[in-house]
Amino acid sequence: MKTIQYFFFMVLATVLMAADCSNKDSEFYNDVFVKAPNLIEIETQSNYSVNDILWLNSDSFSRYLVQPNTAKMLDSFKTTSGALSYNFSYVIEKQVTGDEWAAVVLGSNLINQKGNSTEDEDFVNGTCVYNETTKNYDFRSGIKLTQTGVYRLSFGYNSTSTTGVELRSNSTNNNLYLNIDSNVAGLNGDGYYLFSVN
Amino acid sequence: MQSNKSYFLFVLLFVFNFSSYSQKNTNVEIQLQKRKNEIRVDVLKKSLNDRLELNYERFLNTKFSVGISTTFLEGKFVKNDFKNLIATKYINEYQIVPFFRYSFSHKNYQSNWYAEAFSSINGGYYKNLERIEENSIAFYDEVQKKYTNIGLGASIGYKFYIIKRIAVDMHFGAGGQLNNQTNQVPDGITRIGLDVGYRFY
Repeated sequence: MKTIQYFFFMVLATVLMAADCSNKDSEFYNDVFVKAPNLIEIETQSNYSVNDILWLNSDSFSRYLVQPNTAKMLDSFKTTSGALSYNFSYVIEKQVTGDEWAAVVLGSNLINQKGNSTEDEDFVNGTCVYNETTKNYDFRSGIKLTQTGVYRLSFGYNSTSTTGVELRSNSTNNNLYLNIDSNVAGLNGDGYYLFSVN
Repeated sequence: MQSNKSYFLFVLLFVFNFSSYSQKNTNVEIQLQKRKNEIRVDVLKKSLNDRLELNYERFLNTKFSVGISTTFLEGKFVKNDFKNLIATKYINEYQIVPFFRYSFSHKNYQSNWYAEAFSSINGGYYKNLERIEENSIAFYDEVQKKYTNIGLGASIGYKFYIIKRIAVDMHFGAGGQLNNQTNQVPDGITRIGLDVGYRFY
């Protein structure tokens, strides 16, 4: 009988220790999620020819964001305690046959004009960079279209949004991360901008 | 890791010590019955959780006892470190627990199982993300706030004595807060510990 008691005693001790070690914290996420329309624009053309460039443009969006249903603009720079850039991702694919699409390898056909774009296997990582003078986040990057065919561009690689793009601040030192859901004009119901190069 | 090992060695030491004193001893029973008061300190919280818990228990008779337990987090820890604990949403700073115990094995004073009902006055700090409007703009910030709450709960525990007056008490229990309208502090409360104490007249 005593053995059973001692066994229970030890089990109890283990449970106590485990429970007490974990009772002081519950999850806290330093992420803020907001909506702000039209931060990234696809500079669309009515038709495309080989060697045309498809441009993506942040149109130098301000640190002061207009939000739906709020009177005062959101200071994204202050919220993030000075985030110097925002990241988002996009994918450009070419139609192979029917429903089959293949990511386009861009290489030197990826053109950085403002901010930065880097190719990462199947997607491109875009970075809008803060301009201290204008207090805007700058980004303009182009994709040189070198082959004919049907293409589609989407922002859904690291995002579930089918209506726009999700930007995330590059915050440092435990400061808040600002995640911005921004709709993009020209996307179809599945979240793609479809176009043909002739 | 080192403190965990020490803790288990500590438990084993007391278990084996206790086994040598566990024979029924009427003289010890009488001695214990005369001692109506007990103070204890929780060695588990101090070593693992940066908290100091002190307990006082008054024995009313062979079945029932009442007492109070106070737990405090070291203040320096709250001031300096809470903001830097990125994933930590709240810190329980203090807990005052009046309790009422019923012993299941009141014929054997040297060791017994017991059940306990307790209330808890507890408080601390929690973090909240808030949208703040200032002049013509708005921004979000992480705001640290204080909370105070009252809860009710129940525990079970096991206690034994060494050399007539040294108490070793283990207990665990849980309960709920009576008010959590802000939804920012824990819904539940815990009462767990490994106490070592002294029983006196």
